[in-house]
Amino acid sequence: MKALVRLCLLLLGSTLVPVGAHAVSLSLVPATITASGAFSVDLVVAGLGGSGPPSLGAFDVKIGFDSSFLDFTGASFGAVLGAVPLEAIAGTTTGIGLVDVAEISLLAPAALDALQSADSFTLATLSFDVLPGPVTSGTLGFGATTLSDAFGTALAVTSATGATVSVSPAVPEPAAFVVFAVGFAIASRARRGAR
Amino acid sequence: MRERKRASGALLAILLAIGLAVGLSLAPARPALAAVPEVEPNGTLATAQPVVPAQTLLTTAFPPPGSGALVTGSVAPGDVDYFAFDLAAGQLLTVAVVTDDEGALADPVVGLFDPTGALVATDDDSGPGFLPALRLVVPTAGTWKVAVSGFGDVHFDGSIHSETFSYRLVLSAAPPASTEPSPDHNGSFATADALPVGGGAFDAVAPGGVTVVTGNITAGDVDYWTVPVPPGRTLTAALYDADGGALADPVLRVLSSSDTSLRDDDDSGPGFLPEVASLTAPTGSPTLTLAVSGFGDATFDGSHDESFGYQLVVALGPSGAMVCDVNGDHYVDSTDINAIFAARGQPASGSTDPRDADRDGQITVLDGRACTLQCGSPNCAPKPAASCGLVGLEALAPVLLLTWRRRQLRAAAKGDTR
Repeated sequence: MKALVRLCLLLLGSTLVPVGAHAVSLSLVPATITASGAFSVDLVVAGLGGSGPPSLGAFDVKIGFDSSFLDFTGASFGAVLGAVPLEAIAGTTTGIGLVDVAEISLLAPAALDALQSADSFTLATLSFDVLPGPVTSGTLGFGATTLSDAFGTALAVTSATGATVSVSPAVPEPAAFVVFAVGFAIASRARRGAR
Repeated sequence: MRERKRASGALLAILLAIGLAVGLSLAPARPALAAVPEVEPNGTLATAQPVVPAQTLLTTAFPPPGSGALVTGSVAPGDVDYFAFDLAAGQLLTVAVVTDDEGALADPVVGLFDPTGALVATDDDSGPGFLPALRLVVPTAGTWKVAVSGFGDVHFDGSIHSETFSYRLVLSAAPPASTEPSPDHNGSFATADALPVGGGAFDAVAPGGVTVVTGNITAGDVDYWTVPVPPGRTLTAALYDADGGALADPVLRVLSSSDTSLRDDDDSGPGFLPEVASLTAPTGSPTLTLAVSGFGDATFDGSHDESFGYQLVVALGPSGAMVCDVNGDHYVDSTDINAIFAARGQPASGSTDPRDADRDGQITVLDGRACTLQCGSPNCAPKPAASCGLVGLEALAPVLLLTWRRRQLRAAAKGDTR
């Protein structure tokens, strides 16, 4: 319940974005995930200048999840803010049901413009494990988010789309069942024969 | 007077040469302005070579508006060099091209292009000799580009000129400059003009509080400027001129509000330019007064025969620590950015917390990113280790030696003629 409340607060917080001259969107890709163990999800940004201002100079994104269902296991960062650690500083911090993903580029604005020519790009790839237990579905939602342009000015985020995660349904294995039944029949027959 | 200047120049050159020869390591670490070599192809707007400003052009103690860059390159017939750099709106941009012959033969031209690619300013001979120089207040933020070419290349496509020269391109950016009131009436301590430092628009440009004023000194003239210095803050002042201190020899004095001299400086800046760094106002002195005069004016009453135009750059630092300089080493690098990154999400420790660059009371990645623009090296590389030499000016030694030798030869030639 606490996790749900925290998630709701985080989702509410995601609407409180700073006001800037340009608008960008954040999303987790894929938006629908079905997994029974480990899985990854991309943090994607779109709506930037594309080879020109505004480029993304830094980000700090909090992502909430149900800690009774999911376990954050790690993150890898894209190269659009520069290669870590010589051209960018990046890292994650975690709390219960929360992961904070952040990166600051050390590159000059012109270099960022050149790197970020695509309409959208992946900032980081986050890895999770689905935990065994009664919970079979959950969401990954955005919390407080700070995006900076190349000059340290906040960029507004107009939309932040999370992802839903559900457990893969158990797949029956007929072949194993048949083998077991045959074995059981043979054993029964052998016992009967012995009598 | 000229003999005196020549003698001091010769002495400086000899000292620098000795420093180079024996590899002295006596000076405190002060990062020299690293020249960025030109990288071809850079002959069009689209292929302009990015240049990262380093704050060491003005002084190591300065907040970001003192940023600048030194680029070395060469132009051959048909060649033009483009360089790109990022500027904030309202900054005072200075572009100067220097050649080894001081513009005696080489005739470069420069063109300035705004972020849309439009040619907004050109110059041919505003610098010494045939050398160009540009200065303007940048109206819009973005990536500006400057082209260096030869005389006649009005389109900056290299198609018309036949010049061949090697050059040093100096780029500097500072907040908008005020201008000395006219008629000149600030010639004494009592009639000093006030400088607006540490508030309003200047704080918007630089949280440390920086201002720039332009003025002129003629023989017998002294300019006095008063600066309010809040308790706990330090003052850094530096003087610049169009030729980077190669010819003019200003002197600078800082006085308390009771007209007591606190510090005099002659040549601590580039060339013959003065600089006073991180001076704390004494208790009971809410203002400091800066006096600008010419070499030889020991009493700052106008007893000199220098004549020059100048830019006086004044910055107030928070308690000796510059914004973004988290570890207090007067140099912003990845160590400082890492510290800001690690502290993201925390409240600032106070109004002078160097991690809170935007002064909103919170340490965020916005502060970290803003601080990367103040880094002293490309990609915020760590502060260079102390190198041998005097004050990082050893790179100028060959130029000074050549200049000194040329002057000697000229003097000898004049003597023979007479």
